[in-house]
Amino acid sequence: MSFRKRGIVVPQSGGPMTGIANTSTNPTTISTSKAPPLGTRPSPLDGRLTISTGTKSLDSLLAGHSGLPLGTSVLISESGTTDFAGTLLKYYAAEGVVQGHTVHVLGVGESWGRELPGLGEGKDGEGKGKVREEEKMKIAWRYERLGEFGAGSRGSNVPQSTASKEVAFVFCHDFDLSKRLILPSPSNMHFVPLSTQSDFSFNDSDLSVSPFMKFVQHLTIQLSSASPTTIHRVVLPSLLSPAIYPAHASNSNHILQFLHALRALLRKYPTQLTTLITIPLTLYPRSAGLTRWIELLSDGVLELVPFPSSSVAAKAPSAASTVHEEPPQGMLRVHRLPIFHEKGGGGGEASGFGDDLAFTLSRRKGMVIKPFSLPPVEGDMEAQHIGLESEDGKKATKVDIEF
Amino acid sequence: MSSKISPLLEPYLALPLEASLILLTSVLGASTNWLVLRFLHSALLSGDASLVDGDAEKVVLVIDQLDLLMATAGDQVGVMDVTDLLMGLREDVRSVIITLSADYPLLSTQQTPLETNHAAFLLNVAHQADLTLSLRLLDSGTARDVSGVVRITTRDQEMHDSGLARKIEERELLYFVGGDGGVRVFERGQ
Repeated sequence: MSFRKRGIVVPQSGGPMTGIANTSTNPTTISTSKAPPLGTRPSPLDGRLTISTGTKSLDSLLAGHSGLPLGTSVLISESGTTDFAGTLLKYYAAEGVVQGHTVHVLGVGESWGRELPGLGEGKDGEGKGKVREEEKMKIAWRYERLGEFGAGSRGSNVPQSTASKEVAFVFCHDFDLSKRLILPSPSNMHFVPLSTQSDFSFNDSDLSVSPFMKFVQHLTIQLSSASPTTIHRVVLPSLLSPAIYPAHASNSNHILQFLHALRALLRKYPTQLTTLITIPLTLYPRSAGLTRWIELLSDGVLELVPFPSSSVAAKAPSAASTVHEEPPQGMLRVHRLPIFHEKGGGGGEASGFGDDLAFTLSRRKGMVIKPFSLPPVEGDMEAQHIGLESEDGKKATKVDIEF
Repeated sequence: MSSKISPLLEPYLALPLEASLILLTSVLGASTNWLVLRFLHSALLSGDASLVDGDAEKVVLVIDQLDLLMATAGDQVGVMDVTDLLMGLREDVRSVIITLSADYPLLSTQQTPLETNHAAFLLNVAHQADLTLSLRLLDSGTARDVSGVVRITTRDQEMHDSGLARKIEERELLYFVGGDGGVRVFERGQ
C-alpha cells in the first residue's frame, strides 16, 4: 500500500491492472469475502455459520437458522426401544463425511461407520435448476435465496458462474438408507473408544477414572492441531447406554464433567465444532435430575416419542394412498433450541412452537419431520377407514359408526 | 438490541445497590441470560459499579450457575461447601446476583445425592435472598408472543431490620424475548 501512487484506483482482483499494481496479496484489496469453510452457509437470521444435520426437516426446525450453528450441541432423547435418534445421528455423520468434515465418534467401533446411509439419487433436478437460475435477472439474487432456506430446497452459493462447470454447493445431501456410504480413504472419521475399553486386562476398571477422558484428550489434540477452517462433528450415540458404557459412566461427576468439557471446547472453537448426542430415555427418564443436567448442558434438546406399533394408522386403501403419505411414526418435542433459547426466547414463530411435530422415517427421504395432523374424519368412505383400525383389527365401517 | 428497559422491570434492576443477595432461577427453555444482562446494564449505567476491579463498596458479584459446580464435582463438593463459598464471597462485595436452575426434576425427585444436594442448596439460597426472580415457561404451554413468566418475590421484611428500603411489590409478570434480543415485560392480560 505504501508504494501505491495516489489517484490510481485500487484494482479489483482479476482486473486489467492487477499485474501492475501488486503481485503480492494485498490485504486491503477489495475482494469477495473469504469463502466459508466447506459445507457451511450463513444463517439467514444473524449470519453465523451453520452446517447441515443431514436431515433437511431437522435443519429447518432449528429456530430460523436453517442449519445447526457451529459451536453448538444438540441432544436427542428417545423413549422406548427404537433408535430413530440413531438414524438422525447416522445422517449427521454421513453429511459430515460427504462434506469433508472430520467426524469423531465415541464408544462404538468402525462397524458403525460402515452403516451410514449412502448418497441417494436426485442429482438430475440440479442441472435444470441451475439453468433456470441463470436466466433470472441477477439484480435480486440476494432475495432469490430467501426462498431457498425452506425445508425442501437446496442452498446454493452466489449464482454468478457460467453454466459449464459449476459444481453446485449442496448444503444438505440426499441419502438413501438402502445404500451404504463408501468412506473415503484416508477416512475422516475417528472412532475413539472409552477410556475403560482399551484395557484388555481383566482388572476392574478404576472407577475414579472418567471413561470419557480419552475422548476429551483426543478432541483437544485434534482441534488444536487442525487448521481453523476444518469443521469437526462430534457424534455420541446412545450416551450412557449399558450396551456401550460402563455403569460408572453415569456417575454425575464423570458424565457432567465430560459434557462441561465438551461445552468448553464448543465455546473455544465456535466456528469449528458441533455435537450431536442421543440418549435413551427409558433408563434416564426426563424426570431424573441427571437427565435434566445433561439437557441443561446441551444447547438444543429434542425428544422423540415413537408411537407404539399397534396404534400406527393402517395404510390407506389404494385409491387414497396416492394422496396420503406414509403415516407418522412418532412425535417430536422441542425443549430447547441452540442460540434461540440461550437468548431467552420461547414461543414465537421462529421456534416452530404451536405445532405438534411428528416424524416419519423412510428409505429415500430419511427422517421427515413435519407438523402432525390427524387424518380427516369427514370425506369419502375410504378416508374414513384410515386411522380407524380398532384393536381387534377390524376396520370400522360406516355401519358401525351410525347409531 | 433496544436500549430501553421495560418500566415494569426497572425498579427491580436497581436493587443490587441495596439488596445484598439476589437470586435468579431458570428452567430448561427459560434462561436467565437476558435478565442478568439487564442487571449488568443497569449497574454499569448507574455509575456505581464497573467491570474492572473496584473496592468492596462498589462491587456487584454475578455468579452464574453455581449449582453446576456442585453437580459436576460429585462427592468432593457438598451443600455446605458451596454455601460457605457463597457466604464468604458475600462478605467481600456489596451484593451478589446468583443464578441457579430450578427445574422440577432437580428439586422434586430427591432420590440421588445430585438431586438432594441441589434442592437443599437452592432452598438455602432462596431463604437467604433479599429478592428472587424466578423464570419459567408458560403454564399453559407455548404462545407466540410470550416467552415465559417472571415471578418476583422478596424475603420477609419484618423479621430483618437490614432489609430493603422500600417494600418491593411481589408479583408475576410475563416476558417476551424478541428476535433482536430485546425483551418486553408486561402484565397478564395486556
